[in-house]
Amino acid sequence: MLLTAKNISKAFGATQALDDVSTEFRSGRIKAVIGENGAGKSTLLKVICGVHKMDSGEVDLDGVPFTPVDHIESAKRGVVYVFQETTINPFVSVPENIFIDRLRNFTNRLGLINRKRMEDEAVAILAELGGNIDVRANLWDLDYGQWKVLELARALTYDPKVIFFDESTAYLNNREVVAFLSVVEGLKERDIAIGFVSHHFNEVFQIADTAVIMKDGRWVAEKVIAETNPDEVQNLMVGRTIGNIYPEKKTDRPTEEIIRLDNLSVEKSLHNVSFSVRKGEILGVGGLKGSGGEEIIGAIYGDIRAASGEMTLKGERYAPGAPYGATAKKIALLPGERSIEGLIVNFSVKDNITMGALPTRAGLLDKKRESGMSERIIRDVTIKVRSPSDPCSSLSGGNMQKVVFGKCLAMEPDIFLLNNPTRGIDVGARLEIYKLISDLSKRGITIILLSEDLNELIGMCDRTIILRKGEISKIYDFGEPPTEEDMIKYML
Amino acid sequence: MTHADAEATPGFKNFMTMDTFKKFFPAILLAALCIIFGSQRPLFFSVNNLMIILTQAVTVGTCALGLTFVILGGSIDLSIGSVVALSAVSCALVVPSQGLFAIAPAILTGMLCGAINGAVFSLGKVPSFIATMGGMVVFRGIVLIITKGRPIQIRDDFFLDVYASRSFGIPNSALITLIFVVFTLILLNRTPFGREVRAIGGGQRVAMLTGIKVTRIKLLMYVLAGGMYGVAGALQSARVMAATATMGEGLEMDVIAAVVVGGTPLTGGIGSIWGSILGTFLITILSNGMNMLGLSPYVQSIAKGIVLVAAVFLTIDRKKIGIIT
Repeated sequence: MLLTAKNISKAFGATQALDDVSTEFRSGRIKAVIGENGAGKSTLLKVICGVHKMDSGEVDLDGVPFTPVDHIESAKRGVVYVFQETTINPFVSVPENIFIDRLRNFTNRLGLINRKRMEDEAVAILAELGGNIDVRANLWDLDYGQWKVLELARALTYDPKVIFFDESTAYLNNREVVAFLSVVEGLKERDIAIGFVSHHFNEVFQIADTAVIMKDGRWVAEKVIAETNPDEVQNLMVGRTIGNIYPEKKTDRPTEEIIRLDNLSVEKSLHNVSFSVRKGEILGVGGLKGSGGEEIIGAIYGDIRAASGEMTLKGERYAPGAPYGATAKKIALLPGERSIEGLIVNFSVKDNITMGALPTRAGLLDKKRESGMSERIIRDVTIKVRSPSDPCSSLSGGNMQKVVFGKCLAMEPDIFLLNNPTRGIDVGARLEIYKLISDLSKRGITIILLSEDLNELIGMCDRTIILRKGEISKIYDFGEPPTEEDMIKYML
Repeated sequence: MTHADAEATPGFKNFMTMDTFKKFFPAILLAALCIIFGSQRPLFFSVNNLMIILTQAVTVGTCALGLTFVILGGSIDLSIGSVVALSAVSCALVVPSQGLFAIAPAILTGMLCGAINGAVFSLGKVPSFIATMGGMVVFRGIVLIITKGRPIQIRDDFFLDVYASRSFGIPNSALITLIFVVFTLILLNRTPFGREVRAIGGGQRVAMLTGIKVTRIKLLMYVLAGGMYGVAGALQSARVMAATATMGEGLEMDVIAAVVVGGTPLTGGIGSIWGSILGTFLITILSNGMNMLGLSPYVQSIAKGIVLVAAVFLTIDRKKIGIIT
């Protein structure tokens, strides 16, 4: 069995997401699809499965043209796509989750569902997978790794020839990843072709046979995993040496303490974390997803309640009850989800920028100063927009992120918390954001940078904290630059 | 049509895009209604009838001013009619002792009701649909207990003169409403409070992470709306010279219709006071005109429903319609 994709191109508006990409998937083999954010990995697999329509190109399944209208027809014809976002509904049972799209296959003459038959089939599939999942279990009692296994079980009920996994491990913790990967490896024996999108090299090198490497929507290389190494793959997918994309670091060690955390804990996710941040430094926070970085930022910003511990801001006890408690103390946050948490997309650029810092005179809005403020910020942050009154929905991801950035700057923060500021934005905007962060820190503004991008932490931060399961496993001090391998060691 | 064609044919085609049509549709509809009614009944355009329309628009109008904030903030209020009735009752009860100033307890009663609704909603985190539905029933119950089902008459001539007669031919109640139009316009467009209400309706999580005191603003927005219903209660009691147990029943439907037809979608964030005023006149003129045509109340009811749904169908961007919280 062979699935080939030839010369595939796909554009979303002005963005060329895929540009003449060709590759193939063979039965019994796991092929990793590797690239940076926005490289076109997911888009390639989605185009093959009919989730997106390709602009040009051709897909063949065993020599027969394969052109499903959507992912459901694709699944019925043997090519199943497992989405990154969970499709498990925790309010219904395990068998119902597996057969959710084919409940009608289990109805009797009266149109009622035969639960016994459905449960028996679910038991059979789960036993084959060996995920150790009780078919009667409450979904809330299963972990996210087991949810992914259920989605895989659902995929298998289609008797597929090809399965695509889109960052299936993104929301899993380390233990769940191990269990999930062993289930995926087991699929090879069933002669299924597997496409596996992942950001994590250790996973790729653990289970994949081959890899296709992509960059900016283009095919870069195909590699046999046994014949390559992470450095080579990294260089291929980045296409340039690291270092030159990051601004120069400061040479003097910042000394004046601005905020200190003592034994801060957040229920279940952060345990007795203590560290101090100095005025004007860029402090990096790294770790796997769910290792506690979001909780540190959330607790400082008053968005997540600390269960115990203390914070000291500029020498005074600090305990924000809500985000407005933090903004009142000149702390700003650039949230992780820009279109849900960062800005209101159908409001204008101006209204978003001034939202947290409305200038008033005698209790009334000072519209003149407000316009001046938004124009100054649009210039400073280099937001590409025709008019400040354009809605944010008309902007690209990078420009939207700059609006959120500008909104925070309008509040004139002393401490600026950044949650993955460059996630999912193009390289140009990314460089501009790095420059802004660096300039702010040189002006004495303190930055706490939470990032999943290790190179970003290495390139940007004066000091870096690494978290593992809600505890600090390592602090890289000023003048002690971390390496990627070393950081990963402290994360796992 | 290519870009060059678009530039070659300026004028109506470019002016009348779908967006501008949607934007002006309520005004177009209003004009169309006026032309229809005016052509059938010349008296429709008489000064006297226009003043009657103004008088009739006051109750829905003052309530719509308040409800605009609530809907802009992404919430809903079903208790309007009951709050208007309860305010009218407290007004009528104190007219004998306070005279002219009886409007103050009416406004305070409205604000108190708003505070209760707002507290259940924003502090208790009960969805506003449910919180105010409870308010609707409870406040009506209080009205029934106080009135025992009988009207409370207002006999103070000075009170009735000030709130229900005309100055220079214009109804006083409309002039008083005009003061509140200016007040709410300033509040919505010229104060941080107005912007914050919009921001909460546009995206509550974003507003909260921007440092806006979401809980407090949501509570205040109901207090403000309640105060406006209180004004409506006082003016309505002056108009009918009594507070009655059934006063304002079903009023919330007209008010919600006025705000939504005026271009404020139930999802919040976008909309304006002017739109709600336009919507108020649409609803009022529709009733007034149909009365002049002598249509039966049953037919009127059907026509009103169709106009409401059609207006929303034609103007609102359905992608943004979601769940009311």
